[in-house]
Amino acid sequence: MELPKDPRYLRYPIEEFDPRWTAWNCSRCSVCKWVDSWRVKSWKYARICPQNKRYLFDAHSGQGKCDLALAIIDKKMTMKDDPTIKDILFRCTMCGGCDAMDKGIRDAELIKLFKWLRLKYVEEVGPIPEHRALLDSIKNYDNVWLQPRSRRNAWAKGMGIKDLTKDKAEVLLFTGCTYGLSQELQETIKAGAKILQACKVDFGILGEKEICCGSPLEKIGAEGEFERLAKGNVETFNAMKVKILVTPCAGCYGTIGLEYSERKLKKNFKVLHVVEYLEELLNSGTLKLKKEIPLKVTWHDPCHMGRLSRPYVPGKEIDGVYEAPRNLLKAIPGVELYEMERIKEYAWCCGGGGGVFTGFKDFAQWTALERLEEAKDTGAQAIVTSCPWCESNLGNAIKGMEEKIELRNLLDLITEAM
Amino acid sequence: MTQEKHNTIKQALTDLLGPENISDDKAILEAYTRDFLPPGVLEHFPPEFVALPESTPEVQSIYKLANRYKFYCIPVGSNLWSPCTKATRPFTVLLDPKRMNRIVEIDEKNMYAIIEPYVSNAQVSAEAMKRGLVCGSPEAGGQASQLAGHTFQGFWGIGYRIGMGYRNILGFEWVLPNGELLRIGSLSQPHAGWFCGGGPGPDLRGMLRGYLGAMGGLGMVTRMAIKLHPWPGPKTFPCEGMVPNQKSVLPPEKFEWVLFKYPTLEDCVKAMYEIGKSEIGGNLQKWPTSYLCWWWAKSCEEYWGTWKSGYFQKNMKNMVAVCLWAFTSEKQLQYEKRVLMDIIKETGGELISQECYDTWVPYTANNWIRDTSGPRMMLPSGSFALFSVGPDTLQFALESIKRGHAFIDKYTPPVLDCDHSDWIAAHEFCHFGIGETDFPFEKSVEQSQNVMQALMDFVKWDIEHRIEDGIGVALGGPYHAMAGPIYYNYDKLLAGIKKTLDPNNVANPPHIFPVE
Amino acid sequence: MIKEELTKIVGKGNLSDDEETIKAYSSDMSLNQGRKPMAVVKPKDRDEVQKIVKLANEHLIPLVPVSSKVHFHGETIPEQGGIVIDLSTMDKVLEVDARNRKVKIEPGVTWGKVQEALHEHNQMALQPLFPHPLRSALTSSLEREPMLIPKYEYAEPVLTMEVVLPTGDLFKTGTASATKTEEAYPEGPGIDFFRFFQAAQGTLGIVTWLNIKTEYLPKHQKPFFIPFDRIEQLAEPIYRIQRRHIGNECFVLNRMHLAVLLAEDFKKDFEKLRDTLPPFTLIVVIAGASRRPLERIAYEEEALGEISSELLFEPKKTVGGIAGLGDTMLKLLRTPQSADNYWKARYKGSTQDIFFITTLNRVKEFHDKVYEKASQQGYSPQDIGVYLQPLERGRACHLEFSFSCDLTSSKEVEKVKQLSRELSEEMISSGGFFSRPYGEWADMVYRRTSVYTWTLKEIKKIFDPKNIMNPGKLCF
Repeated sequence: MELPKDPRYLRYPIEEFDPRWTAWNCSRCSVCKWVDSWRVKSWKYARICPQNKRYLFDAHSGQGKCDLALAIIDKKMTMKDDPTIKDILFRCTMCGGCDAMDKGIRDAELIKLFKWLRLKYVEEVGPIPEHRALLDSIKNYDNVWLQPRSRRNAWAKGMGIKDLTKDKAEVLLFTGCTYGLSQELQETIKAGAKILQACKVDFGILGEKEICCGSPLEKIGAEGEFERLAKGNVETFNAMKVKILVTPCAGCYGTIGLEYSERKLKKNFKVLHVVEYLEELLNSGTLKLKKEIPLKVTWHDPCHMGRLSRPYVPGKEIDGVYEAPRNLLKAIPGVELYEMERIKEYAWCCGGGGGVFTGFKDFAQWTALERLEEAKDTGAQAIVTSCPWCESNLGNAIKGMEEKIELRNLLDLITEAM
Repeated sequence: MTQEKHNTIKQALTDLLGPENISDDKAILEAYTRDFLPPGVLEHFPPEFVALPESTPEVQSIYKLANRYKFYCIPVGSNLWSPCTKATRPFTVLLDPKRMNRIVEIDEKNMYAIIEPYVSNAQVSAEAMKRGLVCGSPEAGGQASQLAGHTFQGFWGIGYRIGMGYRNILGFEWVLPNGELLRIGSLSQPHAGWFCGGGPGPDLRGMLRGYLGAMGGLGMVTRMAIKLHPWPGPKTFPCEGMVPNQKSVLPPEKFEWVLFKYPTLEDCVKAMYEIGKSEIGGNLQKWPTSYLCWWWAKSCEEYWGTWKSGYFQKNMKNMVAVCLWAFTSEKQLQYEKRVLMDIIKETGGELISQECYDTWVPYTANNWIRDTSGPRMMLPSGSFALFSVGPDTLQFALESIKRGHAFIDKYTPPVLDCDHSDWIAAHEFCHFGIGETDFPFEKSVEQSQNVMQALMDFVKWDIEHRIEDGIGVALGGPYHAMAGPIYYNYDKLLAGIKKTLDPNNVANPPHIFPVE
Repeated sequence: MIKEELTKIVGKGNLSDDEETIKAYSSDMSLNQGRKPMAVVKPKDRDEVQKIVKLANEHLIPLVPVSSKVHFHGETIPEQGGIVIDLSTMDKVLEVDARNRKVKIEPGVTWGKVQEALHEHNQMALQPLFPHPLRSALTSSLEREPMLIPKYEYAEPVLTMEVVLPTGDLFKTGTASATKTEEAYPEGPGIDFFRFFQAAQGTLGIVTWLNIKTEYLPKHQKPFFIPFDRIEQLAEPIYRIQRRHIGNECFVLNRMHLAVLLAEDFKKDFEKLRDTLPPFTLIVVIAGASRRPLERIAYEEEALGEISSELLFEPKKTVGGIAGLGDTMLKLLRTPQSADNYWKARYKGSTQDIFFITTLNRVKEFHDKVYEKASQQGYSPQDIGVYLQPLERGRACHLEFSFSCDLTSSKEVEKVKQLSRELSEEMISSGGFFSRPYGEWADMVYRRTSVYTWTLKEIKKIFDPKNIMNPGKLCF
């Protein structure tokens, strides 16, 4: 039986990512630009890649980046040859839509390729100007919002939550930079904490000592800085001997849960998104949702708690935290759940990821508006999510809409329903 | 001189399209230089520009500019298959239709849709199904261009019932290489609309096609009305599970896949003839075991592991698949099932085991209604090719496959094991058949060269024997120049058409004929 | 001298230039002006055809290919003199390929002959409505005449063909151009040349044989006759019947046509029949397939019943109280009539037909316009024949209006001609698609589409550089 000579065709080399292998085997099929064919329900919502839909040229797509990667690796081009390369690489929300769809037809890791390309770009050209502020913020303040470290704890004032730098608990509530520091979103983290308190969960926070998980750094090519933060965080978390790290931020969830493991950082704790944890509490009868909220909602799947939250196993489902939020919503009396056409592993990105929220606001907003349009088309009154980047970006876009849709966080709804 | 010409073209196209819709950036152009087939692996010649026209008048203007400033135009769809639609010479402008992505209209009553080039098969299928209609979807996959699929092959899974691509074209707008707009069929007359493709008088749709089409050598189709067909199924294509392990089960009272096997390929063909004559079914295929594994396997490890175990080869070799559709009523499906079982019995067929059926059908079969998932064919080794297509009758398909097998034997390696791949598809109630011998090969420079050589040998053999197994035409213009004198000098007619419609040779030379 | 050379090619008895013969080929059943050829030749095979064509090129003599012994639309009346090349003696059914369901016919094969040959194999060719017994099956198929069975989704039944090009060169389309094929697949070589020769009225070449699709000849059939009072009532039933894949033949005739067709003793029965028949009758023939035929008939009949309940119409076994109508209709559908009793000639000897393609939901619009104009011009509405043929699952339809005409009355001829001309212009302007532009229609159609016309003319120059093949037809 004549078999391929290259063993990588017999078994995808999952242990060691080879950027050239992923790029080489791109067949130009354009699956990376579209929702999986079996899932397409209409002309309007058939695309998966915001970058390609917005910027049109094939270079702005998973396939295009594969071609670019080959040209760079094979030294037919350098990162400095063409200023457009910056846009091709960085006007991408790194949502993983192309990555997930591509995995439907071949063994490949597009997101890893994109990260590799960004890293190479930063090495050869330098960080892009649009991300300078972000990098400086993390370097100087350990958070992405240029906020003093002392403000990290401000939301928890007066709530009587354990400080795990001084105390012990089973569960660490990791707030993340945005929920922790954003004035607009603080009510959400407070709501989350109150829910845990009401359910008598033994939890604590790091307070001022909590620093960025490093998610933005990892996406924008600052791998060295990311690994520094990641190592530090894991050491801190391990030292606290918590059993579970729970976070309401999808970005932190995907980063701590998956990316830290990808860097071989050993965690002595389980990582859950708060939505997963609350589902467990619901199923055990601890969390009771009694108050009726008559509301038609649709759920937006954040990428980092969805398709970008699990390690890649060739041939295995692109799993994520899909059912937990839906089960919680369905458990709230009066809430009716209407699904958008693009959900779960084939969801349309909110537009807030990959450094786009900070660096390319117009594109971020454009992407969000499409998602909001899709939400409105379900007939829902509110779009619900549980990720601060999604909330921020969608929230900003809603402000500019004539016919608005409500934006709710799942934690707020649960609090209301308790 | 070269730079001056480049700047002149750039200025003209920028004035026409706007600066954001034309690019000569190196990094942008790089994304239009490769695909999975040997020419796309071995040659990387970027276009001079990529242009994004938005409308028929813009396309017309581009071609007129091409004639004035002497540059070349290549229109593409999703550009999946690009051996003949990649740049090969300087001053080539690739026309990327991403801004021409509208479904302009769907006439539900009269069953047609008017589409632009960057509308995908899945988009049309989704919109059609909402309205109780369905469209064909080729092997290129749901993400490929539906319009392009009408100018090229169109051997759909449901072609058995609804006809093949070339039958499916109604009125359309065609920008000729001279920039003039040719309206075909009823569209040529004011107030008639798009609903009819033939005429007036001699049917100029003939110029658009041939089994692999004109490959942009006679201009660009900017809008096309395509037939849609009755669909007795649900308004949304049923799908559960997660990528890559999704399942699709159509309502059993309306659709039923029946899979059965025979001792030999000849027996399969006999049964297929009987089925066609009985006018039952919505799909009728004889898939090779390699196809079964291709679409079913979710990773290359699973592919080769299963392949080496011989699961498909032992259990589903020489297997015929029929999907029965209840167009008329559920009783039709029941009737057709009885007829099919009669035929299976008479012809000595054997139903495949329930275990094989449950392993394969729910995860794969409905590909042949929604999208055929062609891109999965690159999974095992990065690329695939084929020695025969053999469009003619089922019997010819069988013989074409045998010729293909001789070449598979001769050229293994680079051909990888494919259990003597033998796909036979029946079209138009078995008036036609095609016989493909698709095989995987390793996508490397060396093996691509070897496969290219093998394919050329096959083409030469075909020409020497005056047989048309359908591969040579993939080379486009150069093939027609070579083969024309063998096949009643059709090259002379093609040359005349090319010179007349494209006097300045701007439309993707050397297609449809090398006039230089 | 030309005639001598022609005689050398075809043999003495196969060239005619006597007055009677010339007159016979100078006109046809249409109202088009007659024009005379120089001579008529009857080649017996393709080689002779090629020689004739080459000779015509040498001497720049127009050639008008003719296959049938009867013509209706003026397509074989020589516009510029020349030679009529009558292929009717090339009348062999060359091959019945029962397995692949196709038949290879020469130009002179009539519908009757081909159906007879096919019936022996339990097959039939798709045919148009009650064709004249002398009508060439090859010509009908090439000219895209609408077929009675719209259930076959794949449009025209034309497969491969052998053509003598206007240069005299031999050409074959599709897989017939290669060896070892079964000559079934129409596409290629290179492009779809087979399409150029369709509806070309012989201007782009002479087809010397043609493969067409055949289908199973049903042994069990159940015709239904569904009466309607108004034409607008027809669209929805046809849409639904076709959408649900019910039936084989499906077509509509108005009372005029049906009466002409069915009157046994014409003088005695016709008018009474016309008065008692419903204004429109939709005829649907449900047929059994080759296997379990009665079971298929049963479920299709049930489905037809469902639609009739939804839309409140009634499929009947007869209309107008005609006994045995079902059997009569089946016989008419399967067996050619006799030439001296051709149905369209029964009323006044001839009809001038106006036909075009449109969609079912526009039929009323055209119908009303036709009747209004006819009334205005003093043509009796009750004398207008209407034939509606759904095409391809009802996605479109062939709509035909027939105006009977006594050719011996110059006044009547003039009246019908004028009516026909004005109506044709109006129909085209309203969006009726005259896909087969015969006679005067050619100018009406081609002047409305400059680029298509230009392109066709360029194609013509490539195929027929000396413009000898039926010049003056279409836009040439």
